[in-house]
Amino acid sequence: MIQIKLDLEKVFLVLFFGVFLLLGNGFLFGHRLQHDYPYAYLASDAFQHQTRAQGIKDAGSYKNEPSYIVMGVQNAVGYYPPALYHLGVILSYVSGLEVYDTIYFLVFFFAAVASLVMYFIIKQFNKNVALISLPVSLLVFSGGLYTGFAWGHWPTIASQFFLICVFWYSSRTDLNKSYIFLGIFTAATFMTHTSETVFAAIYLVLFFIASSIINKKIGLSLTKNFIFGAIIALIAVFHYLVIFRYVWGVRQTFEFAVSKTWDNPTMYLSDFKLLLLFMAAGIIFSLLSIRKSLVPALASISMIIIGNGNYFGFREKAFQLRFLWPVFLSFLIGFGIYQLLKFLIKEWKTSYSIVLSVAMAVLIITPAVPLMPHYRLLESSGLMDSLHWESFSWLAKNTEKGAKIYFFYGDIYSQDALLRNSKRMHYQITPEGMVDAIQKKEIRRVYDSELPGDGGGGGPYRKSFFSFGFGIDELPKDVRSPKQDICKFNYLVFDRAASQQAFAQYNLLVASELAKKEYIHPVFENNYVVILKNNNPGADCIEQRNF
Amino acid sequence: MNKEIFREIKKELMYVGIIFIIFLIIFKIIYYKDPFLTSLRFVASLFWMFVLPGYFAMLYWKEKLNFTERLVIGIGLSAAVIGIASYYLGLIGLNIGYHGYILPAVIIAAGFLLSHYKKQ
Repeated sequence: MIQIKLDLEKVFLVLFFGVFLLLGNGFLFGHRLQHDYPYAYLASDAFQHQTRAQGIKDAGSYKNEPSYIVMGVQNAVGYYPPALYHLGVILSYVSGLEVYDTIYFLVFFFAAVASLVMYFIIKQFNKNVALISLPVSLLVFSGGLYTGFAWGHWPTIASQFFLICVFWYSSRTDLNKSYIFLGIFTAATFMTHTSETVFAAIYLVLFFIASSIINKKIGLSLTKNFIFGAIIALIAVFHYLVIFRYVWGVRQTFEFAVSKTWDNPTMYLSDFKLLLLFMAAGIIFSLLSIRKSLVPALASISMIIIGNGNYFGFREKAFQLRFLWPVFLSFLIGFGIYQLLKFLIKEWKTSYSIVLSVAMAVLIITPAVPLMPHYRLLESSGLMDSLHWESFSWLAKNTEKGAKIYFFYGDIYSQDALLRNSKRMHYQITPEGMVDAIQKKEIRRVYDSELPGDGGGGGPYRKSFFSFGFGIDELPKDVRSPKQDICKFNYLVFDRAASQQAFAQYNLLVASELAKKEYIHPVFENNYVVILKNNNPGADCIEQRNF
Repeated sequence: MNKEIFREIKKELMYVGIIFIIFLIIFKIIYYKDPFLTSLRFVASLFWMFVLPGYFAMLYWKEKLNFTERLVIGIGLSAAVIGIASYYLGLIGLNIGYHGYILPAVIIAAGFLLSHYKKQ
């Protein structure tokens, strides 16, 4: 008979995990895992990842980018770090949920597990500090940081989870064959979001130097460990490393530059408010006990420095690292609180830490407490809605693979990655072009347009294993032209409603004008969207006139 | 592998089972608008993809790490291995639709065998 004994620590960790998910995506997801459309997606980047993952599911692999993502370029190789997409697709298959639900969930799941990994790193130093530090992680859902999740900074958050696993490895280098962890976790950072690999390398160098200073000798076993780990990582990432080097390394070479602000909501150290004092105390105490607190202290302090790297060249990469700052820096805050209280209470008990931890969580969650950074409740169904989703699904299922689609103005279409849900090459009218046409009271055949898509990698195709061409650069001029003839398109999409009534009215005016041709007819409509099919692309489809 | 180790694994798998039930309850509370079967399948999927492969992969370090730490780190380890391996399996032509069944099973088997043949 196996006896199960109640372990308070396990109960506490499981409860924390539940609270983290409840606050993170429980409310945001409307208390559902399964949705009828991409739910709570608040920005284009979120759709970028969703559509890429869906593309992998449709194709069965990430050998190629779907052409509708890369402006119609055929056979472009998959050039984004693939790990998160693959995990999202696999979870979709196993769970039966749609990819748009599973990939989004995973980001919260990894953030929750990251907090627990940090807990175990800190616990090796001091269990009480670990308990007190844990609820600080809930601040990943405070202020600007929540947008890291809702706006789609998913790869960086997932990669930071693996970065924390690298920290954990450094706390366990004494384990037999610990280099396996180094190799796998470092490879995972690279295959999820590459800049975290650089941060991991910086941390590991600092760790090596600090260990050598503390031990007053260069550790040969640690050196060997690093070498073996690096070999495993290199083997694991090799294929993608080649793509990264010859695609991103050519198209978007990183240039160091100072940037004091970011065009996304973020967090500054001052946003920790009162906790900043405890953090400062934690830094002092951890430096005083660096021999014992090396890993959590070094991890936290290096993440403060790199997270402020925007001031010395890391640009947006530094701001991205702040999405999990509350997890990285939780040790310093927890240690500061613990050590200060230890001056008052000599005989510290674990139960005090648990009570303090719960109190910290309550203070963070309760919005009325002054001088504390707070959890921010976020409830939104997001940009997508069931009627638009119905229209995208219709386009993806019912149009010919080579069909070209033109989107007239829609309020949500400015977040243009969501248009990729049509799974077809698409253009859209620019808002400026629309305004100009309305102001001049013109119905036109040629409109100011854009070809939305992911141009960052240039639509790379392989010339040889180490050589790539860039399909986007080779697109014919008329394909990239900012003036597009709407009569060329197979399908034209019109929103019936818009925040500016004039836009919706103009949409319907153009649609009705087009429908006068016998070869153009509506093929889909609901209360929000009308889709017209042009059976004679290239013909003079509309009478240009004033209205 | 002696019987004692098997008994230990059996005991720990029972813990995993209890954690599964607790997770199911937590998920049912948080995502209460979903049907029970959706929650059940989703939690089972998380355990199949991350928890079980992680648990077995970490058995190798059983003597040095306690159960909870192995379970948590194991989630990271299996996520990393599955995420990377799936990319390559796709490239060599195995449809991703199969990866969710093959990869966790392989990691579980490999973890078990590694701990079985580990030099004492």
